Amino acid sequence: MTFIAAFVVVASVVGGLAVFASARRPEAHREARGAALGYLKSIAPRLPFALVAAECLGRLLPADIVSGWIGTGSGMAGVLIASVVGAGLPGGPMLAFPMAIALQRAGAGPEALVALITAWSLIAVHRSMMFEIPLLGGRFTAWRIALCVPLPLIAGGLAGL
Amino acid sequence: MTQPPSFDPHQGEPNRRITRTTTFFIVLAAASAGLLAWRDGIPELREALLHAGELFLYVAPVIGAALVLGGYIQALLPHDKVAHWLGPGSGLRGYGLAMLGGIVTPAGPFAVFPILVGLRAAGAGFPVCVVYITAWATLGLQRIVVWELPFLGFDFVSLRVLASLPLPIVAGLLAASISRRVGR
Repeated sequence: MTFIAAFVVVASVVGGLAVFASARRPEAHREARGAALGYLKSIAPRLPFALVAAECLGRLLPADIVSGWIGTGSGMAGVLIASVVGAGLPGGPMLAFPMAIALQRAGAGPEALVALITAWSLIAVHRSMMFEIPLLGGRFTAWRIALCVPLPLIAGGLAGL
Repeated sequence: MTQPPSFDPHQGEPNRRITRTTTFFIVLAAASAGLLAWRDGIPELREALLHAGELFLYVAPVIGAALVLGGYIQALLPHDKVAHWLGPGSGLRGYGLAMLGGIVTPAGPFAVFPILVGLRAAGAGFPVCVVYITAWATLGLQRIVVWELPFLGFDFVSLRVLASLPLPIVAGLLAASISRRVGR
């Protein structure tokens, strides 16, 4: 159901934007198609392998350790552990979200998963190395990451309330 | 309206059909599948593959539609106006706009970092940039719709979004307290 709802929402927004583009800026259609094909070319070959990897890794995870360390009721200690794991999680959303489902099935609590995803999205080190340091400089990147360190703990703590 | 920054998904990689990142995923999938078959047996692996295939069928249409959405956002977003709205002297209104801007910016790092370069060049301060990047990372609409909703479901996503709403402003205030050390 969620999949169908998500598809309908995305497709309607695409329809709206396409109508807007036709009215205001018809050349946007060509640019949008080029950008979408660019995204597709980078995602399509990887997604099936990423899903298989996440599914198998999830089954390999020892469920008792996962639920013991970051399970429901693990409190701020679980949030802290999950934040550290999230900050070190390699790869983009293709790997991170299937891994999150696997951890959820292995018994991870919601507040720990919130902390994990927040830490991954803010600190993802490989992304900073590839884009942020070359474009914005090491000083900017280092201070920004330092500021972001407490945020996963705040989000995880709020989610546990 | 200026052209959007050009998109090169294989930036810095040699021009081959199978890139390093793809190779990484292939190796990871093969290694984890092999390990699972060795530890838990072939039936467990077959079940894992079936489950992964089912998930692929569910998420592929959403991801496909969302890629078109990302293309339109990239083509329609007025990059020069974004820089103007978040430029120097935008004050608290700048924080709010930066948060909104981060939420609607497309998910890939190839969109957000070039926009940030434009913002810095237009004179945006360090705190505004931090608000923008934090909102993009934690509340970015495209990533929520494409990846998080299909994989983790509405209940979890609403919990995470609610818990993350204060983060961009908290990060911005922290940034304001040290912005002199960063330069601007």
